[in-house]
Amino acid sequence: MGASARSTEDPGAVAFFVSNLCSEADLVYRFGYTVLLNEEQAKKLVIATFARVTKLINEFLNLESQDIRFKLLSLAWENLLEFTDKSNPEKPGLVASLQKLSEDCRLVLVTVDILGMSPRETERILKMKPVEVRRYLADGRQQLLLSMK
Amino acid sequence: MSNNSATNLSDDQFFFAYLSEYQDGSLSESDKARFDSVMGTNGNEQRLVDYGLARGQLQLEFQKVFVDDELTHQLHVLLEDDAARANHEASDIEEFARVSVAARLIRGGLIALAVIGLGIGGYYWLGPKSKPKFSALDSLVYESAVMIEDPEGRLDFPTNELDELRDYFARYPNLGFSAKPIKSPESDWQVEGAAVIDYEVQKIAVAQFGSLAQKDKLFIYQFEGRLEDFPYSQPGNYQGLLYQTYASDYFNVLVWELEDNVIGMIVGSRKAEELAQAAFKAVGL
Repeated sequence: MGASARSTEDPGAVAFFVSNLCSEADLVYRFGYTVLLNEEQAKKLVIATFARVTKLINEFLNLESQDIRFKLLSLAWENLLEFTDKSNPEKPGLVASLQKLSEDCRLVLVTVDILGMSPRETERILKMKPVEVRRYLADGRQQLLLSMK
Repeated sequence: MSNNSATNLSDDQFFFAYLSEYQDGSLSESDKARFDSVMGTNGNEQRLVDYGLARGQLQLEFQKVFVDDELTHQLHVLLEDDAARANHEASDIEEFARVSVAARLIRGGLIALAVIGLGIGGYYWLGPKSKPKFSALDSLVYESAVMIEDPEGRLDFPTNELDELRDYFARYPNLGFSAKPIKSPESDWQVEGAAVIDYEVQKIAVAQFGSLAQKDKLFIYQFEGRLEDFPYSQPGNYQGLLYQTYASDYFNVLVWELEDNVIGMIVGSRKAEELAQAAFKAVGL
């Protein structure tokens, strides 16, 4: 999944990309890391996601901050579905607590409780039903609590 | 009317799935009634508190997951490679040089008169009214959780003397505002120390208090800002101290205007009324 640089003659777009969009790179990185549990793969996801963003900048221009985050995570999730190799989780990894949660639970838990998306936004990002999100959120919180005792 | 998602969850799942909405006060009547009924079971009252701590710990762990400078650079060059950016900057500098010479020759005296008139009005209407460059509610709730996790490690100036704490803030260089002297919040609070949190765009003075009896902490923050920077919340009034209240999973937060462009914020796990009383006694009006 490569990404290539392209120059732009629009300094406004560049400034917007750097200050408003790239500043949310941590969000995408944490999202990717939550699923992949691998730093290098999470970095590839970030680059792939922002490579797509460069082609969609106009769609971001008038969005509020939370909507920007929503859109970035939606793009990241679409990219994640194309990742063919998710089999190299690092151990113990940067966030040890995540290792003990199932993938769906940690994904929903992190998206809601760490990345700040509402359950409804999470449904739309991950294309899940409302009851699925609630169930994974409940189970994720319960598993987290048990793992930290 | 209960929502369908809640209907399909067991009581245990319902508790964990909706605990944030319960704390925010945003549950429907029927869901709230169900939540109230499950709160008294399975030790859920304690689980509510424990989950707040667990979440805080997970947030701390995620601080280790961030995009480094190299990756940031790789993202920037997706849109503008280094050569193009250098060309942009060089042409901006050249353009600026041309314009500045012409401006000096043609507009010098006229600009001086215009600036005097525009500066006064322009500063009032367009000048910086506040520095909402960081989210105080998010950042300082997080800082409070971190300081509970590491009560001694995060304090720049551990002390049990209020005089020393007041002196520390009064002497702190380039704080950017005058910290109001802090008195005792009374009740069972003992001063534990002070810190100045230095974000790039903001410095925040924080005094930490602890209670041996109840084993909890209290944080009193002071920083530049205005109440308009905060989301709307139902206002409260404690003996003339007008404040706004917010809640996170584990903390209650009160925010009020200490003086012009200086905000006071108190963070703790006790009820809002107790926090208001502590704020009033510690910092006053």
